[in-house]
Amino acid sequence: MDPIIDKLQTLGELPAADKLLLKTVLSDVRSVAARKDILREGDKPTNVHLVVSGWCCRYNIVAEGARQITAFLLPGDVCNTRITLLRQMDHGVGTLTPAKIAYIAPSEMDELLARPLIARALWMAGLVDESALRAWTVSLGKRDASERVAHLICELFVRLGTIGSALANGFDLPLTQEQMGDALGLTPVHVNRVVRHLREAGLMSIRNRTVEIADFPKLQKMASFDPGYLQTIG
Amino acid sequence: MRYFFNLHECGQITFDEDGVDHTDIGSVRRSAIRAARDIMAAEVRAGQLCLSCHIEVFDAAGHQVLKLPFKDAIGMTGL
Repeated sequence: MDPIIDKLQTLGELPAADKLLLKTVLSDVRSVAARKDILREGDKPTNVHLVVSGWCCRYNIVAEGARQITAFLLPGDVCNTRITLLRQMDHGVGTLTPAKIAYIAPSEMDELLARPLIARALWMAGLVDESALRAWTVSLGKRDASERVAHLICELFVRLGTIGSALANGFDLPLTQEQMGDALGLTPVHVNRVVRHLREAGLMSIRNRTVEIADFPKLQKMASFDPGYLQTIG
Repeated sequence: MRYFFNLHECGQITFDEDGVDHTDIGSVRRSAIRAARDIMAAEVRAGQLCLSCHIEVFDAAGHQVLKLPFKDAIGMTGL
């Protein structure tokens, strides 16, 4: 349960009673294998899902089966506070790694939202998701391949850092180049090429599914990455 | 089955350490063409283009199954 509380607390301090309520509500935790759908496009969402462990993604499939990943969901991420209002899903949500997902019924979400500080943290989380979507739109529209990869790596580094999952100068990255490419609008060969360029430029490398960032300030500058949109305090 | 797409650019090789799963050689070829076009498009946006770069694809046993020169991945007119 800690990643959720850690994540929500980075958006706003929560009193002990609120943390206790969260622990109670987040008790229906289910294991889901890798590469499985939690929600499909067209489904009527009946639960809110929260990532307890593992990596998930939001995605859309276009013609010929090509996939665009529109967000990575990490531990502590909520999909979405009021998603049960939707008549149907406009996108799919699935696991990338084996994951543990907390299922929250709408009545339980009502209980959480009755607490003003929990509600505030959940609203903030939703706003941050929207900010991230804008950042991804800017990447797809205006950044070149190297800048897109660099920007994503910076974002993941900061997000994992706030939930205590980053290493000193990097993080474990359980994504294939194909999955990264699906998020960045690049073919996996191109992702591989960019990763080589970034390594040769002394900025970062990826070895055995671990990202090592050699020069974070320089990587940030190259990607024009500003962590402000992640809205975390401290 | 897993296939490995190595990129050859004027003497520089970027090796594919992960590989990607494909069901048949047709799918491998389509993927190589998409990759070649993707990289060429990026080069064009940066103001340059090298048509003699190529992609070599190997199967998991190390046999080369495809060699795709960039110039075979596009149709050119007006030269």
